[in-house]
Amino acid sequence: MIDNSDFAAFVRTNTTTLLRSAYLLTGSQQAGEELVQDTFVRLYPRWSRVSSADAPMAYVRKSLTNNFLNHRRARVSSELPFADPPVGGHEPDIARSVTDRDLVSQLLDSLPPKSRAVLVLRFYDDLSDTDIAKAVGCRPGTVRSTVSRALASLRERLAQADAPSDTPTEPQPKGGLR
Amino acid sequence: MSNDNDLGARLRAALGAQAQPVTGSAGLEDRIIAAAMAPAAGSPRGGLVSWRRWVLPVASAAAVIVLVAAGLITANLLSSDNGSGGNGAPPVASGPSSSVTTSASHPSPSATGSASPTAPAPLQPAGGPVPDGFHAVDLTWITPDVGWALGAAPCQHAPCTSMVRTTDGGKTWVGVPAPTAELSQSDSCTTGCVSSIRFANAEVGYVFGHTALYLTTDGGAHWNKQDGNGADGLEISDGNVLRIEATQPGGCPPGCAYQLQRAKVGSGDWQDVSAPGLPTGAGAQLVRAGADVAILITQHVAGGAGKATSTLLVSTDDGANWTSRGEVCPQASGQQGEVDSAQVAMGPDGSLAVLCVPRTGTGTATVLAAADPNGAFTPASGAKVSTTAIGATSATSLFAVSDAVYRWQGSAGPAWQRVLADPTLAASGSTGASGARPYLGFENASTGRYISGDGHTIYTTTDGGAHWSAHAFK
Repeated sequence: MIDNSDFAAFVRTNTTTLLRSAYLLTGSQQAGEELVQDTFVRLYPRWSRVSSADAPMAYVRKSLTNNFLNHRRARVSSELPFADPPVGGHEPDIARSVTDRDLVSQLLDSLPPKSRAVLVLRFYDDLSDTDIAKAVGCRPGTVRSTVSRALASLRERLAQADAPSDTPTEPQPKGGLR
Repeated sequence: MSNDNDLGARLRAALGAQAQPVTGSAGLEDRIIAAAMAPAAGSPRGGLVSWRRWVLPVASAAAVIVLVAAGLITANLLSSDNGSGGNGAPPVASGPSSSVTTSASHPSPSATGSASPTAPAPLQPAGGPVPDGFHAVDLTWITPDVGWALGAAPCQHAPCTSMVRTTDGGKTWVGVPAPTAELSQSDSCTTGCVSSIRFANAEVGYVFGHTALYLTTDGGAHWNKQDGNGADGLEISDGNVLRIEATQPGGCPPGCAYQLQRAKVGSGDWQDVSAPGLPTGAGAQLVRAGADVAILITQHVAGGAGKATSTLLVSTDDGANWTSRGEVCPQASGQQGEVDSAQVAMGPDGSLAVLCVPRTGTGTATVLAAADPNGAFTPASGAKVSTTAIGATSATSLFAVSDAVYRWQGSAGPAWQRVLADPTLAASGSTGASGARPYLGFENASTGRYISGDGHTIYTTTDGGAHWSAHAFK
């Protein structure tokens, strides 16, 4: 027997949180919304099992990640979600923040879905390596190596961004989960 | 290692900054709940079909179609309140808004700038101009920005029932298709009498009255008349719909028997809900906020020498169990001392308000307020006896419509204070358009709406009723 009120309350409480993760996974709001809805629609028939789990949110997040990996939704736009792009660039923190977001966006776009999921789960959802491994279906050691490679790639990008250059090069991700 | 930590911190901050502005588009949670609980959802993907029916055509259409649609929508927004249209005939009697708007509120569509990744899909149907002379009788909101108004406008061929929709909180409106039904509180309409409107989400909506209930599952592009005897009250919460209807078809004289029914959002499969103690009466009102539900059965106070007191039934578990609170209005002494519950309203927090009016129609009216449906009532006395509608944002913030809109705040003193002047009420005898109870409702503790006595102006408050802004239809 599904407790509709429990399901509805969970959806209302957690949709925004899940949508933000889904947005980072898919790269677009629309695909993110569809991913979240698809996840809940799939989970609803077995909601009693979800709600009785030790950590229902972890259950849902794992399902959302699996859904993403199964469908490998493509990013439909590379635009950054800035309401008002900073002008002038005289504020160091803002400039750095914008650079970081831009580079992170590029980095995520360049990664295969599983690696992308690992980064989002690690650095946005703050999951442990063990939980990430469960969510994406790999070993914790693979999670750690994926994170390490992603950080190396990001470091390279940041170094290039910080150093003025007339010949920008596009660093390539060094492998990772697929 | 510290370098990695710093890099990790920058990555964390960058991801957080990217995700933080993201909020769901209008009505996302309702769409998810409806899709999951939809009858076709026996197959897990069943509910997704309806979602995609309106989102994916926009998302996947060729660029030229998107541009054309965007142009049309822009044109509609720019031309709102202009032109003519709608289903036409002279305006007819309006229906009561028997409850506050209880649709759940959600964050406004994201305003994160770059349109492609964040802009919500345009609502369907795109809409056209608001018909000339449109007057509203009832409102429904799925977010503080997205709402619909049911009303009518002069036209050549009846019925003239019309609908308009806003996506910016009531600043601009577009005309959208209405069901082919008469806007009337009476029981004798050729096509069915409707007087109220509720939307569950961007796709699923209901237009209903004493003798007819219409359902749309495509945002109002098409309306289907439902089986049954209409709905005296209908409210939506947590993916399901409750309605109360007379058991006799075509309306009934005073002494109607009523039944309560429930359906999933968007479904025409209505199931009876047991409500022990539901009496016969001359009118039924249904209000709802989350799992709190209240039904008020009123009697025919105009005629007969017998008692005509009302009965209030309440539930705090979404209708599973009911308590009859009887007539909650304190009775005065003497033969002429009958005081009747005339209206019930529910605040967004589940607080309950009841309008008590002397049957003689003299003296003053009182609004009773309780923090929850089973709570003790506290009187806010001294309201004008001509009060025709009430509203509440909480048990200590009450509203009454008589010759103006008044507010009572328990902590600020006992007096009812006028917060909104409405000169059209004098002409209409403190009633709404065409003699019905005027609409007054709150979507949450701060945002509420009021329809002027002539139906031509919709007022919005975003500070709990202290100040109101107006949008007038031409």
